[in-house]
Amino acid sequence: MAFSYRSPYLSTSYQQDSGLFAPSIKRINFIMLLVVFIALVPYVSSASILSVANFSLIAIIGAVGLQVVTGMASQLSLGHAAFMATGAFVSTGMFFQLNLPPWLIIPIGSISGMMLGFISGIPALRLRGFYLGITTLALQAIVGVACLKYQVFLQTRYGTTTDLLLPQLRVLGVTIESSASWFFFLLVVSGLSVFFVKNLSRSQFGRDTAAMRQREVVAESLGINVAIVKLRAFAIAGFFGGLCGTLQTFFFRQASIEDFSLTVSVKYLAMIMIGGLGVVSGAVYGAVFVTGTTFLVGEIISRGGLTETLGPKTRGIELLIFAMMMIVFLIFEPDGIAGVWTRVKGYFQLWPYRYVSTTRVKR
Amino acid sequence: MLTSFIGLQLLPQNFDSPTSFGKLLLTFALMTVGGIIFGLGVYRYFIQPLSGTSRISIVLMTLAALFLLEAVVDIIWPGESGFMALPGTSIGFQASDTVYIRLFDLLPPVVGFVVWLALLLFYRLSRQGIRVQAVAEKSSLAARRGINIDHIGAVSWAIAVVVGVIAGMTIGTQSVVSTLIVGTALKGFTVALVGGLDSIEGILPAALLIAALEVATVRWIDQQWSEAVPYIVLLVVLMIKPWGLFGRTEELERV
Repeated sequence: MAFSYRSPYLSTSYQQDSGLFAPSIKRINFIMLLVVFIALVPYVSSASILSVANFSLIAIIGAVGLQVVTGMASQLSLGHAAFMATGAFVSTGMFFQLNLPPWLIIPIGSISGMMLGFISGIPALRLRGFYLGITTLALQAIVGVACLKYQVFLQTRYGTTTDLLLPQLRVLGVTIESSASWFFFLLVVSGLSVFFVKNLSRSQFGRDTAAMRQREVVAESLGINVAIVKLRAFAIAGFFGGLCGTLQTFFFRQASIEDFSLTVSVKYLAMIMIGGLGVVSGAVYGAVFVTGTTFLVGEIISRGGLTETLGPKTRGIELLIFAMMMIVFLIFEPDGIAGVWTRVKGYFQLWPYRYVSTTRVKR
Repeated sequence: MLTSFIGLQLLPQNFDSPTSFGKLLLTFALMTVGGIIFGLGVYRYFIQPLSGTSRISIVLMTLAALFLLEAVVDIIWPGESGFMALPGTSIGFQASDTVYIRLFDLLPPVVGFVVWLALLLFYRLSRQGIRVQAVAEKSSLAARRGINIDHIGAVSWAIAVVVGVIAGMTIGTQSVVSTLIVGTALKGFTVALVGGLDSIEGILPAALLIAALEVATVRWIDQQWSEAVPYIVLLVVLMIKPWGLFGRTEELERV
């Protein structure tokens, strides 16, 4: 009996079935390998790759936040950059005007994003669908102007560029200065964020959003308060948006309104769409993919000696490739990278047999 | 109808060609034809493959198309900008002692009104327009009653792009043509929503309201805040009347 083989995919209890990670020796091995690999990244990779890794980790935090509202709750949010901008500028203001220590600023920045998220969810009490999406666009525009005003105010009061630098971040007595230390810090924070959202997707809230995504009226009649669920989804998205913006500000040591334009909002939408709408891991794939591709384009241009001819057009080319990626994924792979991953995995697991599941990714 | 309004946002990019427009009429005709072809192309290759998927995908697709256009414009004419030279710049008349109106300044309101009226008549009176209404009401039902939805979609996209081209050219006569026009295009969105998505009649008052408030803000409060004004109006109106000032109540469910 001791040698009887049990399929790693067979669940024998409900608890096991809804577990966060399926207990399987293969998977544990894989995770351990992944951890070792990730831990080695800062030591083996070049500075530019490390900075891309850091950008990706920051993007992951923002993307999982957007995944909650747009992926899970299926509410189009065109204002994710507004949450990030709020986090960024609240933290800058907290430091310069109130002289708060950085470790306190990060939660405050995130919570300010959450409050804005809550506010932007208020129209959900009256509106739904496309209209709600447009109110987030409105939010983006209004917050954009407010932040611009605040930035100008800060600049006139505390001077420009170098005077507005934030201090190095200190966490648990360690100053986060080098890219490697940033990498580990961001790894922990984004890991926790992903873990939180993943866990959220199998909580009461997650099931509510799943019901709401299918059909709002039915969800409402099943006793789910749709408006409250939407508000919560927006608030959670705002929290992660704020966290993302705050961390990004500390990473660049400066907040600038240009980093939070509508393009950025769409970029985050593209991330979760390319990664796989509604799949938490999809946000991770998408964030890495979009950040990595942008970097790759710049790298190819500079390495390939094309700087002379294409240098001034880099921004346009980046945008072009970004738009093409979005279109290609929308038309040919609506399930995103997560969907591809599931299919490829299915193919290898069932290898000799050609049956490939036609069911879409579990959302 | 949603498609046409989303379409509105990506159009002005189309004619961002800072060359001097010598043969005005020829250019206009070319632009219109180009706009029609472009609109049909967008529908056929970008929007139609997405039919049946969620609305988020469709909105994302139009945004992607917007960025695609912006990128193309950016690559072909990097950092360029220019005025559109039209005849009539110097012709004008003295309205009062202080106000001098150029013929040129009268163009946008006139063009806007004519286009609005044409669209309204098309939507209300022509067979095609009535079909568009039916598809907007419920596309599956319309299809069952023998309306070719694809055809209607293509037509409404073509119209949207042409109207966008006209809008863009008109803006071009008033301000510098550059990729920043996208901001104006997004404003079109707010106008459509404030007026009510299904109501063409509502566009005119909504546009006037927003424009008036915007100008008032520039005049008395602050120039930067005026950028946010259309959106503030939008939020206020949608919170009070979610279907827009002139939209029909039951339209809310629709996207």
